[in-house]
Amino acid sequence: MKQERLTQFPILINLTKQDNKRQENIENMKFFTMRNRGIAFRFSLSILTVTILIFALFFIVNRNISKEIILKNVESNAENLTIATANKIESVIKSVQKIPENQSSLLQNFHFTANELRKLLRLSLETNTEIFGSCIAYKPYGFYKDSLYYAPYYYRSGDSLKYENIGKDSYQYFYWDWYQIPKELEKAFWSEPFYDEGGGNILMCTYSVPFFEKADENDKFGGIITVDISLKWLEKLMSKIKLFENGYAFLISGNGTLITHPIEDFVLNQTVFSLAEERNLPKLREIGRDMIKGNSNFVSYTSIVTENEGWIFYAPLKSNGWSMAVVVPSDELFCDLYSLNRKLLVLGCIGIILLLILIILISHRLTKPLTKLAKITQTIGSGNFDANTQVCNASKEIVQLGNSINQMQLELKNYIKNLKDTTAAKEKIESELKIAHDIQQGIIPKIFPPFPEREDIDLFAILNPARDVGGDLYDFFFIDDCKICFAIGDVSGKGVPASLFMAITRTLLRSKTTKTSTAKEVVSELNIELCQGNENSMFVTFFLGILDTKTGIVEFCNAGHNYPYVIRNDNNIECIEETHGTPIGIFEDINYKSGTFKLFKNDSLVLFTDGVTEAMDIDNNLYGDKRLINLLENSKDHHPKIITKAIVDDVSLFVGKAEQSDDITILILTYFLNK
Amino acid sequence: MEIKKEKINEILVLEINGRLDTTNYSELDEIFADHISKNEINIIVDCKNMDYISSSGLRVFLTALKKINAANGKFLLCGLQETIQEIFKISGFTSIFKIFDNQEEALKETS
Repeated sequence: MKQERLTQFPILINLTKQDNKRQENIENMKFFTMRNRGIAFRFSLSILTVTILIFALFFIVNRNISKEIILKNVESNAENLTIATANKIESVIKSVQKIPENQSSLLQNFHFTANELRKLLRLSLETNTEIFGSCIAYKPYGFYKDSLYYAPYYYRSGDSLKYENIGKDSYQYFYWDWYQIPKELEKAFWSEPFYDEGGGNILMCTYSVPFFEKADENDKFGGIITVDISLKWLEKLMSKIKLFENGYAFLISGNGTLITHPIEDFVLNQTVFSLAEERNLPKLREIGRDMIKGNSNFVSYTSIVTENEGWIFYAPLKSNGWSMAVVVPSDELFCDLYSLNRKLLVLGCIGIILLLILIILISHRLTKPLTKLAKITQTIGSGNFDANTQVCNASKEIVQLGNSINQMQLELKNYIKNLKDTTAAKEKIESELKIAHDIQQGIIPKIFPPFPEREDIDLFAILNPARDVGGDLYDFFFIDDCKICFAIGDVSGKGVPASLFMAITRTLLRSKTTKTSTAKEVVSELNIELCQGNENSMFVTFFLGILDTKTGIVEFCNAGHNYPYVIRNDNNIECIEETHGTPIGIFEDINYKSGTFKLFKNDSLVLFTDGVTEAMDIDNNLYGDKRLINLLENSKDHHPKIITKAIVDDVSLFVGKAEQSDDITILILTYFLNK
Repeated sequence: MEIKKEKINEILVLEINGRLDTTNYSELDEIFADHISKNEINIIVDCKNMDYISSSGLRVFLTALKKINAANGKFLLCGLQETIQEIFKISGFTSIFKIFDNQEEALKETS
């Protein structure tokens, strides 16, 4: 067990190492992707793209133009070469042609002995090295009347000349093409290349010219004079032709037979057409046809020898219907161009890499201070306003940015300091307001039911200020065993001033009310007190009533307050529409009057401030008296708490999401009549 | 709330449009205080387009009335809408303020 654990440790360590490495990699990747999207990357990318595009365009145009120029040069080179070679061959052929032609006219005009004929032939071979052999083949019984054959033939054998009479039973020469064709056509004829089996026994080509004997008026056919040209000679000439490393030339005869070709097996064994058939080269067939027609052209071509793409130029040999072609392989043709292109590409790539490095260096130098500033602003953002915003080695704009950030930092610092101070002050005020609210709520009676021992009345009241402290008030207290004094008021305005005024009013109310006080006396005294030193013209709409619980008679004074409602036992709503003067606190010298009304069993008196009837919904519609009356009419249970709650609920339902605009105060007194 | 100011025969006529409540009563208070301090103490307030008045608004009227009365000037109201008339009636302000049906009648009073 112990050992196992021990061996497990290194593995664990390795794993954590790997994990760390992976983590590092991931972070590197993150760093990369983040940087990839930065200014440096975009800058490099756009410049590089444009540069590469320009380079590529330049490269392609250069390549195409160079190719065209090279092709033109090659075409003219090949043309010159072909025509020069063709001319050379033709000059040889023409000089060869003259010999039998001259001999033919000699034979026509003079009579030669056998010796003289041999001399003539020998001479022609001695003076013309191009000729391999020459023969004068007489028609049957044409020279000797008793001999069927007579065909003296001189040919080269090594360095010496040999003589032979080729006519014999085994070689009946007058059946061979070289004899037959010119005889029938009565004109000179170039044979297809052939192996003269009976003669030189080598590959040759024969030019045959008919000669005629002078007889009476018409010339009679006398025989054929031939000269043989060794193809070795032609081959030597053709193989000297070289264009580039693998370029070559070939000759074809009038019917397409290859006379010379670098692949010796083809010579005489193949025609261009058989090659085209064999190798499925329709292009070669087309070229072959055009060559036989005696045309010349420069076209693209796939070499049979190297099987590479290339070009071919061909031109005819007019005197014997042959055609000569020169083939140039593409790769060699464009070899220099390709090598130049490669060099250009390498140089271009090196240039682009250098440019890339340069751009990265420059853009990093540009963005480094920006990254630094970003980090600084992050520190500022996290609440440190003492960051150093100085950036070194940066451009003017970035230094400016640094200065601006510094300025921002200073202003933020001041702003936050101010904000802290004001928030602290505000918090202080708020907590004081909270205390004020508690005090205000404390000075109005809050214990319900307030007189649990009494069965003749019940009372419930509520005060919901719109702000922390409000300007509404209510109060109630017994001034003797059976008289209860109750009041409701609304100080003009809201907030602290109103609440202070409310506190004064409520304190005065308690101090001014005695056992013998009437409602109008209390209100008048309150008015005089409140008017003194009331610089701000604060006033209170005030309703004060004194109920005699024995009789149910309420003596009341309404100083500019909302009219209260009485819910009778039968749910009839009565409005106490009486005003006895202006709100208190305005003019000292007002003489307030008072009125009375009577409550019967189970009647409820509903007192409220305008916060109820003037409660507003989102569209600024008022709750209104009508809705209140309707609610009161439908109240089933005449219990002050339940009615109050019903009103409060209905008002908040009406107001909905709108903000409470004014203090809401309700005081409801229900009279049960003393048993 | 919008307040239009006009001077007719040396009398300042203010026309109040919209609601006069706790959010804007101080605006009107400042206007009154400003004019009274310049001894322009004959003021007619045309309330025909005033939709609502809160107790703060009433207090502004009351302050102005007190100051103007003390300076022997005239502070007249006119064109009160029905609901506002009701408020004035309930609060007993009808007995303090001089209220006219329209601007013309109020102007007659000043001449």
